[in-house]
Amino acid sequence: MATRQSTEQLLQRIEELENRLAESEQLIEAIKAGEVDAFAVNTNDASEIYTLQSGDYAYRVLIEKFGEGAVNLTEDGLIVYTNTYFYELLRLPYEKVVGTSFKDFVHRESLETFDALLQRSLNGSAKGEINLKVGNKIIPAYVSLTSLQPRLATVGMIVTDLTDKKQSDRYIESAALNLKRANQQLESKNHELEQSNTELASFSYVASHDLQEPLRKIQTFSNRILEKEKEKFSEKTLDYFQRITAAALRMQTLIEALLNYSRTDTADVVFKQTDLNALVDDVKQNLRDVIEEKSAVIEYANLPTLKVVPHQFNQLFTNLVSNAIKYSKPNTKPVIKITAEVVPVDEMQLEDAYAHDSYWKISIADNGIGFEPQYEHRIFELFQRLHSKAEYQGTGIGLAICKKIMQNHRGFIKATGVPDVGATFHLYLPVTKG
Amino acid sequence: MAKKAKPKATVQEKLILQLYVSGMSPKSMEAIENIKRLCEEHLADMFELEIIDIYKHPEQASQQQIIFSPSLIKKLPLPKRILIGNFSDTEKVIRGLGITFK
Repeated sequence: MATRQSTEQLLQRIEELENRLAESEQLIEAIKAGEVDAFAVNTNDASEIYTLQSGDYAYRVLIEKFGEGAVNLTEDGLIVYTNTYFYELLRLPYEKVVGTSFKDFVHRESLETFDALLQRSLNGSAKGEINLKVGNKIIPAYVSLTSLQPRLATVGMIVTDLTDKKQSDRYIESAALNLKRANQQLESKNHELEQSNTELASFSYVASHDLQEPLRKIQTFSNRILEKEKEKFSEKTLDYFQRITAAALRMQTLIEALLNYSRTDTADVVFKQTDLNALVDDVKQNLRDVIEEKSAVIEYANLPTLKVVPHQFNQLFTNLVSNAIKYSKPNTKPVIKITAEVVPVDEMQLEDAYAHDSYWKISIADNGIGFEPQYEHRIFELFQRLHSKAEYQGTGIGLAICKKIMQNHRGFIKATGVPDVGATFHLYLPVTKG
Repeated sequence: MAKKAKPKATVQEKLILQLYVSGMSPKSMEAIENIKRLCEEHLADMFELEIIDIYKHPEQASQQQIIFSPSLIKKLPLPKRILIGNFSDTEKVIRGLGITFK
């Protein structure tokens, strides 16, 4: 009876257990099938809710895929969490990093710094640079530590790999150093250039000045001989003497022009607002004789008022206008047109133009003999002449002076020519504000 | 079994352990710290511990029917044992693993 009773009880117990097992299995199946998304557990008469599709999904994925190292440390520095980036940065598998002391990956020389940062972070947060070391590889890193207390007894740490930054820092440093060196070289070259320019200027000034003295003697005594002894000369001797004085006169012109050239940048330069219409009026007045002789026509109107050195610009226009008249075609009335306009720098396509948005372009066009396009640079060089002096008189200095004057004004001069049609000289001056 | 004495366990062969955790959940991080300390203090070299983050390697978690995090599985020596929790009670863990002390 007792046994029977006991068997019954046991069967009942088994049934009860089977029921509970079935219940558990059903629960497991439900969870496995994803049919459960939360459950509550009763602890100390309070329900705690657990969500299965957890709300921290976004944070978890973000931290896990984060492009910086994210690590959680205990107060002793034990790594209790590492994201993928950090253990891949160390080139170690996850198992070798989690559960290991972070200090095992800190370079010996950074240990003290790191300990101080960790200690400081326990009361809030701390940031600093340390070197990590794995095998022989040293990784410079910026670490930012934040205590997660009191909720968690850990310290959260973000590790930023500074390898690239250090490399680019080094690159920038070396580039800056190279630039500095290049600048120094440039400066010293500039200095040399300035020096040789100054020397050249003073040389040509002194040379021209000193050349004038003996020349004057030659002229003076040739003239006296001609005046007093003229009658005693044979026709041939007279011819030779006249040639001597003509040559001496030509040399005087040359020296004066040269002197003028070397003075162009040494003489006093005072920039003044100058009405170019009035300036050309003056030039016309100065050249009245040649203009009348050749019946030249000079057309100009509405020229701008610009800040220039008046006597240099006077010289500039005198040279250009007298050139235009001088190189006119025989039996053709010279017509010279002076126009002005503002051009934006990007339309100019000139390598000399830089640093200014727009330029005044003043053009002096003639209908003279022109020149072959290949000479458009050569004509501005000192002593370069395209024609023999029998054809056209000239020193080969006038246009060199024009070029220098434009340089003094931070501008430049260009020439275009078509043989037998004419030449046009363009003056470019930066448009200044205010 | 005074904690201060840190008695060495009598284990005949190495314990092969797997600790399943889930990212930076508080219990996971506590579990790592506790198990790490326990192994080093009581098991010296007589253990191999593998830590598996089920977020990083869901495929490893799927080897089991159901895995709670954190949980510790003793694979060897047999019998296999599964412990669940953050393992703050060292004695309970030692008992659960079937380790006896001299």
